[in-house]
Amino acid sequence: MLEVRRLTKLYNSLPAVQNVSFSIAPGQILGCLGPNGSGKSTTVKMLIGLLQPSSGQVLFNGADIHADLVGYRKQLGYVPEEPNLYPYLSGREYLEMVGTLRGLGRAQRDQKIADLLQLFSMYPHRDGSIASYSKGMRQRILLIAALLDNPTLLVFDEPLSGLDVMSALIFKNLIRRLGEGGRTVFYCSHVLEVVEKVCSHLLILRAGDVVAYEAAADLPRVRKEASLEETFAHLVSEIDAEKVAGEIIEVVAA
Amino acid sequence: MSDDGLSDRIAQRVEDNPLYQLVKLKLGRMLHGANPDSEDFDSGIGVALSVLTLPGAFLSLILFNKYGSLLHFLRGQLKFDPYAASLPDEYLFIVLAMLVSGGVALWKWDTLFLDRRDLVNIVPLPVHTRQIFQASLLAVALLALIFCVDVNAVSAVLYPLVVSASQESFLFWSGIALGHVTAILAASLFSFAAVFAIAGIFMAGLSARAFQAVSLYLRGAIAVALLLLFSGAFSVTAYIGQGTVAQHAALRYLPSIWFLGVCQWARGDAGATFRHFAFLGLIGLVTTAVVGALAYALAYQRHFSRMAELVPSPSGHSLAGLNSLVGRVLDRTILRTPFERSGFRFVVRTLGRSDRHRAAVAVFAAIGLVAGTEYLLWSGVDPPGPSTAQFVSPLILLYCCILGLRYTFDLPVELNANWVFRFLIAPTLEEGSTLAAKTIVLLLLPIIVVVSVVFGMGWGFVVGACEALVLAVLSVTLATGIALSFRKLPFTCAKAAFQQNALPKLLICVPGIFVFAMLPANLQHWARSNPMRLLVFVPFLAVVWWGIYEVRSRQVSFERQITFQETDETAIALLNLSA
Repeated sequence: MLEVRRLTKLYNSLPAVQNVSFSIAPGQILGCLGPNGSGKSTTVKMLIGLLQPSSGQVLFNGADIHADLVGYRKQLGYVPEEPNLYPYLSGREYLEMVGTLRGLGRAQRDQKIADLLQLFSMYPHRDGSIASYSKGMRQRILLIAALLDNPTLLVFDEPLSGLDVMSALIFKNLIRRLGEGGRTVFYCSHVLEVVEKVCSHLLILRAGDVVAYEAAADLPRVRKEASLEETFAHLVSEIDAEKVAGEIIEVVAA
Repeated sequence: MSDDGLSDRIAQRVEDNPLYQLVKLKLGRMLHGANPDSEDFDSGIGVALSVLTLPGAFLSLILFNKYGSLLHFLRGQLKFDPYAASLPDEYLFIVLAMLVSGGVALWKWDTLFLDRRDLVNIVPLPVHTRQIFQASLLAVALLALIFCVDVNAVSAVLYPLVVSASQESFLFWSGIALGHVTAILAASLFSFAAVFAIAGIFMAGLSARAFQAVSLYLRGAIAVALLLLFSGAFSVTAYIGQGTVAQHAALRYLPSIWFLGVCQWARGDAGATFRHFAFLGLIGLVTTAVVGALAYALAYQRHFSRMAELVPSPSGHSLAGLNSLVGRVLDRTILRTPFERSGFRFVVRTLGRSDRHRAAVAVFAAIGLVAGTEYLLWSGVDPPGPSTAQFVSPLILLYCCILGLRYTFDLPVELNANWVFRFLIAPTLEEGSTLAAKTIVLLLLPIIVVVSVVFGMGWGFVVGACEALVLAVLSVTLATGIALSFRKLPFTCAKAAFQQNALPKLLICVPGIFVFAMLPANLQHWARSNPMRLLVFVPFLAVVWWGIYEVRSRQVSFERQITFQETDETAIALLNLSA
């Protein structure tokens, strides 16, 4: 169980995130939505312990994550937004390093890496340098790295970025299966339709505040909107998208 | 149990140790460079390691002439004492070791500390931050050791052999070898550790943004200090040869002389002065290493643990002035086509903001500055008019800057960015060399103006105006000449032409300085009493410009067209007959 209590992060006394609270039970997939600058990335960084909150707490199974960060991270799988890997390593070398740092035994590590590389269609490219990988291939390496140690908590920050249609389809089903298998999943994305299909619960942020936190199926009904897209636009949008699009066309044509 | 099985198990246990993995990762990161997505580095580091051994090897070979017994016999030097004669040379090796090792530390400056990539990849894993710090420090120490051994490897073998060429005693050879190896290794490590400590101190003391802002200037200052140490080495060797080191109190503040003491101490031949120097050297080495480690710990605490909170921002200057009056004037007078206007702004902004490119230009400028200053100091002045040396110095500076800029134009920026130019620029465009030449001259214009004003204030308006004219004409000529085969928009092509035939090109640069700086300066000196004598330049320039014109007219259109070719074309295309 991941529990976030009144989480606040200030940068030079300006709040990036304020009083964010939510909880994710095992088996739940919480989708986090919000426009740019809404505090999604800051929230993710605090969830994985990269950032110390200005106030508030992140509890995992009842204990503050900062009390035993290494123990917490042993149970955490994380996929960052940018696949910023080490270009001179091969995919296999990177995964071996991650497996070793996660304390996996050599035989188990190598077997898992080989199997996951096969399943993610990366086996033929395993010994090529990461510099030669496409963004989608790097993203797949990161996904394998996150899943390598059978984590109980998964934090995904825009995991579908750069993935081809088939990989994205596999990944969406994978997340659903991970949730069904009792894992706790925090899923951050801009893509509403994926979040809508995959997540059991939704958290919508705007300017660092929680503007909605509901079960995914209930959100449009509670907000009396026809779809998640409408709900989202209504909750976070400060501008009229239709009007701005018209203005852009005018400027382009000028 | 077989030995193989045991060693395999030991190797596996080491490889399965997290500390080993972290050290390996950090070491790889430093060896392969900070630039994220280039595939070229595997071959690059091998070449770099080989090139770094060359200065010591060359110096050893040059000295063979001095120690050969046959040559002494032919010269009638029957009482030659190689032990005493080797002391000034030993000092040269020490300075060279310090220069190259310090240079390597400056080169690897950006990778010495952990960065955002490490933060995202390593920190979310179940690893103690303390362990990440220990691994990084260990990796830096290993890097220092690898480069210090590499830089001195050839000379460590060759030089003792050269010195003891006329001696039959193994004891003699071992004494020389022990002194030499101890001194150059200690000097190398000291130099690397000193640069590392300076970086650490500034990083620990300044905010990330402030450190980013001063980083280049700091590196430039260290590079100048190292070059001054090198250029001053020849005067110090004279004192060493005369045995008058103890009489020059200022020398004891030179770290390089401390390691000469270490050499003498290791040879077992140190008097009181050199014993004192040896003591200073060893204390200095330990102190810089300890200070470096402490500063690294503080910098780690201050920056890495808070890196997630920092918003990355481009370094350098906004250069808003390019859109102002100066920019408009340049657009109307010199930069005549849209390609030149946008290309010039792109180049200036890249040079202003890319650490890698700024550092490359700074290195050449520092060499020019030090060489020019040294020449001036050595040659003295010749009142009442400007001396030849005073004419030579700015020309040396300009020469180095022009070469530096030309070299830097070949260094690619982020490759993913060049699609914009590929998409927008017509493939038949032939303005690459013109843009390069104009950009070089425009970037050097401030130097020409400052030098001319100084000359004008010192020796009157006419001298200042003549100096401006000569510097401008020579700069335009050289810039046009070396940009003749340049077919790119600077920084946008990964095919680094300078890597091909790099050594011959470098060798041509050395005599080039006589043609560009020495000869014109002598002519200027001759013409200082009568400016009309400057017309003597006309025939020389006419020949050069005729040559440029000839080369240009013989280039086929393809050789002038802009290229973004990112790989070398294969010399032989193979037919796929199996298909």
